[in-house]
Amino acid sequence: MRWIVTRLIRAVVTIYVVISLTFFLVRLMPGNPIQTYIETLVRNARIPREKAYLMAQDLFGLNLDRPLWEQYFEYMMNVFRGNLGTSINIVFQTPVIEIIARTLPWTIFVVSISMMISFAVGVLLGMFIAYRRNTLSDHIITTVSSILSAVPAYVTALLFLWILYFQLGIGAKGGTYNPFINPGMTWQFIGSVLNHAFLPILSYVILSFGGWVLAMKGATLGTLGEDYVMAAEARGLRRRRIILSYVGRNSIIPVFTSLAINIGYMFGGAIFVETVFSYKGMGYLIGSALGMLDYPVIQGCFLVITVATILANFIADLLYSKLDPRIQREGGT
Amino acid sequence: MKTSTVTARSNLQFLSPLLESLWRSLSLVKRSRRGLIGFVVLLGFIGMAAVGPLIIPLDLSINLSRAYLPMSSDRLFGTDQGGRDVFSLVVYGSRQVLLVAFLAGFFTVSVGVAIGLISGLKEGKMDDALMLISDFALTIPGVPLILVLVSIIGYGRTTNPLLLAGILSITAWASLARSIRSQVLSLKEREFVEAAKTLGLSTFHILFRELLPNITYYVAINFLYAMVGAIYALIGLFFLGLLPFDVTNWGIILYNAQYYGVVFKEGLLTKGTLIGPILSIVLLQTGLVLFCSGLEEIFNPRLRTD
Repeated sequence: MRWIVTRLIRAVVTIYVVISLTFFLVRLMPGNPIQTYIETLVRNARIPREKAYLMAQDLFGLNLDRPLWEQYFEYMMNVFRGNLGTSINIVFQTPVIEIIARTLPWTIFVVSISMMISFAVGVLLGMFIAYRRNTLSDHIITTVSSILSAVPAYVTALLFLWILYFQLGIGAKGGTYNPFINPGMTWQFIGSVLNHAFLPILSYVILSFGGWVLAMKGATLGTLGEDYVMAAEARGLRRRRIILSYVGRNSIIPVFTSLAINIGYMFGGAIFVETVFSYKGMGYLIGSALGMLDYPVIQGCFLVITVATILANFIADLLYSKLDPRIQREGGT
Repeated sequence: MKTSTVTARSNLQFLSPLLESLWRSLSLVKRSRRGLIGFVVLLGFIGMAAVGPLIIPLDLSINLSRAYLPMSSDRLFGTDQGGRDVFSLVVYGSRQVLLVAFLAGFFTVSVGVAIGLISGLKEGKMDDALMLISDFALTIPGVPLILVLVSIIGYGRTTNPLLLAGILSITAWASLARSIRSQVLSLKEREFVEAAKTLGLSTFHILFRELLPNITYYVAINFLYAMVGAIYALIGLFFLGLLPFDVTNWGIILYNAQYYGVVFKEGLLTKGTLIGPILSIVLLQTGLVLFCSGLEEIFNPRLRTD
């Protein structure tokens, strides 16, 4: 119990630090985005300085006249109320939280499916080659996995866009579903959603399964040398049982922990993959917000991604302590 | 007086076992075919970055009548939308990629090793504080943080390799620091370190003569992996258009290919602006990773072929 409380406090503190970080980044960094924004409005849109100043306050959800600590406090309160400011896009003036609520589910949908597939494929392949160590299949799979895990997301996505989408006509590009189909629980709509998600999912799977293969291979090789595996073999247990219950369950635990850290990595990849396929999720949103320097959106998305990663880590920690009771007993710092 | 000369000499001497073990690692690469291939590819890229720009002329003038010439034996990757030879752009661009990646790897490894060593040697409050910071750096998603930082600090302004490398290694050091710490913790209990302590040798000696040589291979591997990560993020920054428009940059060539819809051009030979940078990125990353796994194969007893 104490262990869980320590972990919880750490997660909360990390979230608090990240929120503060986003405040100070935008407020105090050398290329102060608020000042830049005011200057741009004055110069390009010919808005009087006073008015530009007020608009900037509105967008960033800050009162620039107040002392810094008051602004900081107000910013914190706003974030907790779910007010992340307003998009710089003057035409729509959409609250950032609304844009995120519209795009985030698509990214979570695609990323979570891809993670499940690549984790399953990677873990199975990793165990397979650990048993066939130094055979031809081991060499091929290990080499391919390590190369794939180093190929950048935008390269894979561009290659799929070219070869699969353009040459072979597989999948769809642009948006998350066909806009001429009414959203609803119809087969036509679901088919369209899957068709649009196919290439992004394939990209993520190709990008990340290599890492799982290598991690699982390493973990399995470690477990295979353990005494209890030898004891199980000596007892004449069935091979299938040894592979699944003795080797598999023990090897998967350390690999499982990196699943949570991987979420942050996947969000990073989403920015590139969704930009290439114009898949209108949060990655695409961040990519275009970066292009327009829409700081309130950038800031809000970064906050959401980071909080999601921290929470995922926390949940993974809890699950991990269930899977491996040794962690709790060691006091776990 | 006498003691000071001794320390001065040992200050320099700590380098020699490091260099020695580095040299030994390189000569061992022969033992792994994968590692050797990676090493040769890497050498090729370093050679291209060093010598290429001296041999191959770079013509940046725009000539629209020569735009998108197909790939041929004269122009390996054809020409881009401005009629510039893509191969020469790729060759010139390799300099920046390698330089920034090298610097980022260097920063990541220096910070990671320093923090890991301090944390492992000095247990207690210092250790707790450092591990808290590295925990924090581990949980924050790296690529999004890098993008945010660049959009605020260096948007469209900076190509300063030092600054870029610094931003690229902002969170990468953390996992290395953690594993160095745990290695130091376990090495500390070993007999040879105990012996050095009993002999009354300085912390400095124990650090550089007893501990570091034992983790050199590990540091080298992490250096290469840090380069892989830095190359991914660096080219990504250009690909998203966050850094100054420099036509020789691999990421900018890809950005242009995407922007002008080169993917949707008919025929394989028209896609030079796509194939050129992609081939270079994949080859370079492959070289680094193969070299790494070669080193791992040689030095990690668990993976070694006996």
